Amino acid sequence: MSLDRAALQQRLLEGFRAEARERLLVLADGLARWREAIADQASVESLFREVHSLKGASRSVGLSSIERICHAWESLLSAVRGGDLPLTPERVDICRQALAAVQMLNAGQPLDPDAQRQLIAQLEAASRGERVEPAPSVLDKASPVTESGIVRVPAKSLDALLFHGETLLQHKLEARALAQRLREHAQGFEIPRSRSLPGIHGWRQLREELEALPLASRDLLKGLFDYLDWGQAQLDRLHFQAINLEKASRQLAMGLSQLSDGHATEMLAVLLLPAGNLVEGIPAMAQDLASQAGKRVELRVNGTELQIDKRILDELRAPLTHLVRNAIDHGLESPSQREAVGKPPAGRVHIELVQESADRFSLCVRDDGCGLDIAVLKARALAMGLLTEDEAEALSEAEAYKLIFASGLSTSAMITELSGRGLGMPIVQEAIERIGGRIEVASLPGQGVDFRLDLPLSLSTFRAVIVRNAERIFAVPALAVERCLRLPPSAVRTLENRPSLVWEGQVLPVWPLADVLGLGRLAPDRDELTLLLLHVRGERFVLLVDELLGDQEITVKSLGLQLRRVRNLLGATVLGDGRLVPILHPVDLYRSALATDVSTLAHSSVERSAKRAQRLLIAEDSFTSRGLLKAILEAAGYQVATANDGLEAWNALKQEAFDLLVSDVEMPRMDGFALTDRVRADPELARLPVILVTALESAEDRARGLEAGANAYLVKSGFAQDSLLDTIRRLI
Amino acid sequence: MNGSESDDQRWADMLRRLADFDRRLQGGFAPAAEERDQRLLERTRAWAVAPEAEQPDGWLEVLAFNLGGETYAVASEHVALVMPLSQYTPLPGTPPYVLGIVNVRGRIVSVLDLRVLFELPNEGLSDKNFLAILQGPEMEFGLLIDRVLGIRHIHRDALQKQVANLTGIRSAYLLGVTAGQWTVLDGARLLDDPGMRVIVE
Repeated sequence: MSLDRAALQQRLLEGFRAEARERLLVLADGLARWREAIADQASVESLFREVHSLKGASRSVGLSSIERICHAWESLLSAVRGGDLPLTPERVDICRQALAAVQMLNAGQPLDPDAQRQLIAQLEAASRGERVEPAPSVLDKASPVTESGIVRVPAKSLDALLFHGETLLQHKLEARALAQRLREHAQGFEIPRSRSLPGIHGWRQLREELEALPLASRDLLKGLFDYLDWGQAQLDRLHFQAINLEKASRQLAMGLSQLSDGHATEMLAVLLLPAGNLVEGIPAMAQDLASQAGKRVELRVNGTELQIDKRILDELRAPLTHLVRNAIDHGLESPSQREAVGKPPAGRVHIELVQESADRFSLCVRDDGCGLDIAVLKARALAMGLLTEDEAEALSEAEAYKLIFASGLSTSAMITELSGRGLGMPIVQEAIERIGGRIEVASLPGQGVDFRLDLPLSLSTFRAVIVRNAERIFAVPALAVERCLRLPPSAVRTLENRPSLVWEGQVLPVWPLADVLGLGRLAPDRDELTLLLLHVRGERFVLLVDELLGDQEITVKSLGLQLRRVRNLLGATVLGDGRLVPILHPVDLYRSALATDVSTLAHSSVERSAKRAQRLLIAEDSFTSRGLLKAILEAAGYQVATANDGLEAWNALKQEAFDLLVSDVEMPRMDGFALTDRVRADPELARLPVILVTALESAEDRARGLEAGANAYLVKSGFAQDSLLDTIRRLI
Repeated sequence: MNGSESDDQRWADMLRRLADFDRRLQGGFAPAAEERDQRLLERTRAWAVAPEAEQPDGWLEVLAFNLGGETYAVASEHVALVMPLSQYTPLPGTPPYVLGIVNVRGRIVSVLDLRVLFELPNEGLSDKNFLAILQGPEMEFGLLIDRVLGIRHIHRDALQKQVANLTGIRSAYLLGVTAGQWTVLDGARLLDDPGMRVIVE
């Protein structure tokens, strides 16, 4: 805890130094323009504000020496600003001295206490209008403070660096996957090497006895021995090389790993910007909005010195703007209404940023307007059919406030130009959740609304759980996954046609992921169910998947320019082996799950006993043809497995039971004719119906196919779904 | 004597002809000076003729490709690249004409099947698969194609706009049909139309 506080203090201090540097630059520029006591009112005003902010910031981090100087300096500037004192060359000079002193202190250089006391006394005297003799202070002896080692870079150019960091992470993942594959490759050599030749002693004797053999067989056997020796040596050499390659690739992966992780850490530090960037332009916008609506607003902003990840700030801009708009448009009452209830005529909106821990901060947007009306919220929700009357009755206050995040619900009676379309709050919530934050709302009728956003200070790496479902792979954001479970099928009970599961004393709904995504799949028999327990916006639910492939770091990419928004998907990622995998959207999944009413899980136990789905195998090397065939056959209710060529199909046939084989003719490694030959020659498979589908349209080929033992021969160019399905139905 | 005289005559003749051959050999079979001047003059005249003013707008440079037995073309200015396609990732919940997504140099690009978009009968299975990436300022997608025929030039005037069988969504995205039955897509329209943006809430 104390460590945490020390780290927090350290960060605050660093943040202050950066902020002070910026402010001092502004001050130095401003002062430089005050040539010989000629300054316009605006520049005096701006200097006064800078010094005032600097004073406040130094107080908050406990740098009292800077604070005291700024305090005295502020008094002088305040007098000048108020027109009480004219700006004389002496007064400008003493301002320059104050600037130099603060610059030194901020750069960490010690200042002589006497000189500091003298400076403060001079500033105070000057602010009282007394004439001060510019003393040749110690400051003149001090070396001029230079801003060495600091560069100002436009925030935009950081985006390119970020992109490179992402690419680096991708390469790291790929290098790791490659190292893993090379390891498997090297291990593969151990099988043939470990298998020793039977009767090795006999062979040795045979070698010795070779001389006694007749010449012809002696040469033949010698050749055979030589060949075996040579083969063994080659195998050893390849094995050795494979081990070396594996070692090299592991080192490469490790190097890339260090580079990528180091880069990410450095980027994190570089990307920290003061939160002031976030509220830029908001005060002006607030005043504009208020005057348009005939209201008066007083906007207060605190905590703008907080250092926050640029990516978080970028994402927060729109939600914050929206919250301020809402507060002014819906929250605040008109001056006359306010006076009627005894409030000051100008409404208050308060934006506050506070660092909560070493890695999180809160952003509050508070107004002192009319507050949220629970009755109106409930009535809207009822009218929209989001709730039933009973549910509305039972709703607690906190739950009722959450209704403002429901799509399409706006409490504003009048749809104004500004807001009130009921789309804003769900979008705000989405944006906050996308960066790993949470939004809470509290309200007291007649006293205003308080939005509290709990957010991370920086975007850490995105982790995801990789799952396989219905022969496809998906990534599920790890933030939403509470647990992965493996349970026997009996753990899932069906209540009123709704499968559910009891976990830690809570009854949780269970949905097969394939149903939620509308993939349509027949539940296969299995001894164990793989389940993901998700936690989304306070709701817990369980998804059934086929297989869990692991959990890993990923880079999140958008789905491209065309696919702006696809339900249930958050984006896509490229796995280390180059596979492109969609990332699921947990909040959407819950919504889609609620909307699915047919669960294959609920019916499967009944159907399974009644009728087993017929299993077909497709052997086809063209992936579009494979996909199309699979889609056609699955739509017709068959369970379909696929193979990329004849050899793969043969292996699949030997391992699993199929009711029918649909095979292409032209395929690498083993073509359709050869595959059919093999099937017919195998005692177990001889009776398996085989349909050949081909682009070859010649009578000769047809004859050859039928000769090989195919039951049917369909030509692709005249391919029609019906003819294939008819043929299959005739055969099985 | 007469005979010897004519012999001399013949010798002289022969020598003269030899000298003539010799001169022509020396000159590398160059034509005679007048003849050369004549030829150069002709050539100069031919080159001096001003070329017929080409209408730059009249021709359309297109990428032509095959898809499901039909030939399509799209203005090449919209085509960012053509690449072989070995695998794509299907997505749940997209409209049927979006086959899935592919990774193109680190960017994700969606893959469209024109046959589904244009509501054409899905006849035959295609084997040769390429992806033509169409790019605009606000839009990018890949069209699944069977085979690239190459870059061709078509005359804009030769495009037939009113063809009976072009209706509905098909006609909206077409520039017309050529005499050779090529369907010419309106690349700009495809890329600009907000209807092509997929937003599935």
